[in-house]
Amino acid sequence: MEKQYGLVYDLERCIGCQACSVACKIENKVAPGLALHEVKTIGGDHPDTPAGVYPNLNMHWSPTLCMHCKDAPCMDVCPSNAITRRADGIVLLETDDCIGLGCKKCTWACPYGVIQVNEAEGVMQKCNLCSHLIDEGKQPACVDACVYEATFFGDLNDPKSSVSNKLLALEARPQQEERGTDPVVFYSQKWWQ
Amino acid sequence: MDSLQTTSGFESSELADSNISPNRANNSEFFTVGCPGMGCHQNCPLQAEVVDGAIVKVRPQPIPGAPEETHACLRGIASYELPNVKTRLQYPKKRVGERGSGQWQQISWEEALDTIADKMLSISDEHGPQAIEMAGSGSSSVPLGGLNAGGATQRLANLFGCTEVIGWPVDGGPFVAGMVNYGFFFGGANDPRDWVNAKTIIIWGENMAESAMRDFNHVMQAQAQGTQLIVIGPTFDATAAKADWWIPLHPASDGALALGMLNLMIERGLYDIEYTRRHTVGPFLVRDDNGEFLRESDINPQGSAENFVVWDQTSYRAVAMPPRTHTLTDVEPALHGQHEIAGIGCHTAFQLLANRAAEYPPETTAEICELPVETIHKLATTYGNNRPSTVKVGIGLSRTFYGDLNSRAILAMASITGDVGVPGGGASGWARHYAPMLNGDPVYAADARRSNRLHISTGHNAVIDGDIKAMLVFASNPLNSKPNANTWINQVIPKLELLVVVDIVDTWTAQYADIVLPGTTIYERTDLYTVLGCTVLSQQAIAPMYEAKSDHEICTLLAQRLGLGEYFTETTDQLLATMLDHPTQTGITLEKLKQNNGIMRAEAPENAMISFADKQFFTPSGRIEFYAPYLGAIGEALPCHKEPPEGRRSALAEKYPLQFYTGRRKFTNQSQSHLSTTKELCPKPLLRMNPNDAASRELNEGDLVKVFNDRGLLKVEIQFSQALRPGSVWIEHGWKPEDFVEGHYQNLLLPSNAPDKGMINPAFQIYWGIWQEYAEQAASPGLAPYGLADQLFDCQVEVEKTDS
Repeated sequence: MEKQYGLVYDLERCIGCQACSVACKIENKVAPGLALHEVKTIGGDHPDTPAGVYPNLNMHWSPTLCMHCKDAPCMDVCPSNAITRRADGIVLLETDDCIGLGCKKCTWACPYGVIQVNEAEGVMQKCNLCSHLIDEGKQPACVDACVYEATFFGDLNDPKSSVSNKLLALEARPQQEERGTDPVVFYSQKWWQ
Repeated sequence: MDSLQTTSGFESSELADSNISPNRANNSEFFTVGCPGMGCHQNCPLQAEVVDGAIVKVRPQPIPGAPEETHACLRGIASYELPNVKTRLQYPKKRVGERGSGQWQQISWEEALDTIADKMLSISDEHGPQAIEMAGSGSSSVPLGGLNAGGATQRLANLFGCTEVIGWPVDGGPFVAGMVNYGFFFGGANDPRDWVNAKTIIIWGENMAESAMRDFNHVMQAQAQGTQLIVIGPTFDATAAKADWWIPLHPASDGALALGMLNLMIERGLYDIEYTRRHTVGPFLVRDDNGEFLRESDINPQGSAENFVVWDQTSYRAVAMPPRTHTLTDVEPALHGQHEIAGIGCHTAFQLLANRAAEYPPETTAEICELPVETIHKLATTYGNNRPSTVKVGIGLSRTFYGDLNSRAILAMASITGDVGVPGGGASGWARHYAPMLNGDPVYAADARRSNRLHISTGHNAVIDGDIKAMLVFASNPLNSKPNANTWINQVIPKLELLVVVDIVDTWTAQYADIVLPGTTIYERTDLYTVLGCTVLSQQAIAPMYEAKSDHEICTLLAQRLGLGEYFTETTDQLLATMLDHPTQTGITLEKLKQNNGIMRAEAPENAMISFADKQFFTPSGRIEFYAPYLGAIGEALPCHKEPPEGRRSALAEKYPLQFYTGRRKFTNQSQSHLSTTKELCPKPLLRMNPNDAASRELNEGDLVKVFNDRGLLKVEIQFSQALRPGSVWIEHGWKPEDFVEGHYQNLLLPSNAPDKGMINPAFQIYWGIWQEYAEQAASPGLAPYGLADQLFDCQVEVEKTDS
């Protein structure tokens, strides 16, 4: 069977430290002001602020990146076939093939708002799941940077993989499941409770 | 690689325009490097990937024997760009305008060192060498204890006879309490791997999830296996967010809460009678007349003055108990009671503790701590019943005037549970793995006279008083990290005939220097340190950028000019080999370290280290001393709650009703907010304020406000956050003056030892008196007399909208 790479986040174990975001930024040489990977606060109006009224408060974090949807709307709308799906499930945006600022269709099509406009280079950019590292047998930089057992990466088609086990154990679900794009990034209960 | 040799042939232009090079290359080299620190004291070994002479990536270095501790946080990962940051100091320069005017002239190392040495010699001739202060081993040079993080500067200070500033600025609370209770600043907590054995973990006064992330991993692992996490602190931070139960108490009321818990625990019998009898001073009789322990010699002329006295509740008689003895045959020492022995009225120390705790019934405690009464009941019952439990006391407890009292109350509470010295237990400010020792003395002290030593919290007074004429600051930024920066700018620095700053980046302090020298980052020099059961050869990964030189090289070149060159002839390798000559460095040599990727495990315990597993405490009695008769003169033989002189309940609060404090966040621990990746995540300072406090001041989100008190002011934007306890405002530590519209928070904060010297907590005068021997024995950086935090969060301000 073909591989289907995916991610599972255990939000109980995410402390919002942003090591994943920093590692992504460095690995992919992401331009200042852009972020292919963000850690969003599930809480108040600003990063790292809680929801509620003191002292009845709660705060969680959610790493957010391209969801590598199995039915990716961005792919459907791209007029230049810059967005493709690899055999291992990674949805790849090749900036060389992107026709640039006059189009931006993918950014509107993405329900998760994770496709970035690189104004300086005149291209769209998104997380390619560090496919260059995966091809070297390594993990994506964000996964590698997480030392808190909050991030699990691997082949969802392999029932014995840690990512498949965690998916079941955490009853993890994608964000905005109802959009029907069949994302392969899953979040433990905190997100949807 | 020897940094001295590498530096000397170096052309500064070679790397001046080198970019952070591309990631994908086949010619990567890997080096083990100690994390540049950022002041968290976790000291994670990192692995730097170098391509074409530049660091392209930093990852965690696997830890031999402790793979679960392999760790790099966002600060460590982002530190790859440290050698290249825009604010990097590139060459020696001298001031050509007024101090602080920003007018500089580039000079050669020759000229810089000649000028400094000439001035040192002339000051020494006129006032003695102790008029020159070497201030160093600051946080930007951690890991502490190596050749460049205080080692070389100490060597020079000792040889020349300079004054050194010792101690760390924030360690007043839990460490002092450790010294009083256990006879050891760092004792009483098991290593973090043991936390999984605790039924409950209490993190008290620490944002561990952001400031000590490697440790917090163990907390989450324990939680995953069923441990309950209770977080006690006024702010809802990342640590509180992860808690099973968060206790949002009033700032600086920690001691009252601990005593309130202790009271209910004693009332409900939730303590370990046998442990308290054997391993605390609980059964020792204390004289009513003078508060001293009753000694055998007090009641029997032939008796020993060393021996304590207990009341045997089986034979109804007083029995002498020698120090470091836990039981006597056929004797059952009473814990409670009042007794008259040979005409001397006495109480047991435990009875006195119980009486003290009884002054904190739940209603009183609830009022002081501003918590519901039920919380006090439930907390006492939960902690009292959950054996074993771990209490990790944070440095937050140091940041208040009576931080020692608050911490002592917590340790007293823990002492009667029987948890100290058992798996899953412990109560302390310091929880660390075993680490082998380095033979530092021959390197730090040479065979020379010792330096004159001043404590960090009082050091600047010596300048104001005219005793110090010159200051050489290595990798330290007092203006940005000491309270009341205005005191430094207006009273300390003008008194100096010479201020030299050695640092990797331009700092606030450097802006006031006469001569500024570019130092090396840890990536550009070789050093040695120990952590996690291992010895780490922190390898030089790249050549020093620009004209940077290591502390060791700078001190060598200065020593040559000061007539001390003969003491600085050894190479880095020779000195590091000397440091490895220690019995705990089992099978570890410099050669072997080089062969083993720079990191080797010493003979270290395989399992988590249990502090005081043998219950032989380092106190004079050999027991946990929650009762300290030497503090009786100021009414603090037992811990109690005292309101800080400045606080929300002080008279000043009428004029300045808001409590202002700073804190460590994940992006930067100290004043190193110059990494572009972390700065992008946290681009500018914002004053966090509870919307309640903003409403009553008619302030809106994003308003520019003036934060002020009698000491100074700060202009900054506000952001609303419910994380802040109403009545408190907060800003993360680490910003520089140029980050603010005007002013700086260091001007607002209260120094624990104000220049009038009237502010000092009197307990510390007593501590320094009795712990003097530690100062005299201590050759290693930091093992100095601990004490006073030199910067307090007992700081009242008002906030007003401002237009510019």
